[in-house]
Amino acid sequence: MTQQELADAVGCTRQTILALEAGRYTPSLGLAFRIARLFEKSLEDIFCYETD
Amino acid sequence: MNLWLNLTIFVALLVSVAGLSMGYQTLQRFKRAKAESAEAEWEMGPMVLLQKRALWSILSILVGSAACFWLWQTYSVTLLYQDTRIRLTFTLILIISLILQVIILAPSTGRRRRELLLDERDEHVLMVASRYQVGGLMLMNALWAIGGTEYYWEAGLIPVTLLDLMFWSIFLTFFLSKSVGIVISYWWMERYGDG
Repeated sequence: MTQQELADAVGCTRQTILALEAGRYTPSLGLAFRIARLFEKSLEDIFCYETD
Repeated sequence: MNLWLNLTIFVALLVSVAGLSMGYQTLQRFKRAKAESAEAEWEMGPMVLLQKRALWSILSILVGSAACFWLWQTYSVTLLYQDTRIRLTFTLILIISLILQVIILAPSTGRRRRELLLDERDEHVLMVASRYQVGGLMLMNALWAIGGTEYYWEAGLIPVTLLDLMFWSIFLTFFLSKSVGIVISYWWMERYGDG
């Protein structure tokens, strides 16, 4: 799946996917859940919470 | 040198330093992007719609303002308003600049348009940009109030035409500071994230 396909599937821009991958954007819960559901994974499988 | 001139020079210097700094940073970013292939895709990522629109907005405001400044410098504030033809040209340039802003920044206005054209990251950028907008308007107000008071202190009167210029400049600042805020916010997020 390309970044553009993923972006289209979850309703955001390719640049947002790029930013997510680079760790430079924290998604909203809605977007995080849409991505997780698309890959049929849990949130923790896709994202991790860093305190520092 | 009077305070008005000092203020103008100070603001011009500030803008020049900021411009040079951003130019240098951009150059460094391109160099790094070439060197680091893993980072390259992110660093060289294409601009989003809002980012492009904000740059066009800044360019159109600068062109409009430069044209008005040229007229203002050539005819002086008082003469500018005595000649109806020149006054109309001046006003027309400003109105065109403002209409262009409304067209260029249209994706950022209206709930439905925003939902269709922007995503949540763009919304975040717009929220941050509104802080720049408030700051820009306050700065412009301060420049007019302090500059006008100091410049016309001796005379005890200010030309009534200055009120008209204040009105237009505040309108342009409203759009310019929003666009500058958008560009800076994307640049900041690209470099430091959204934290």
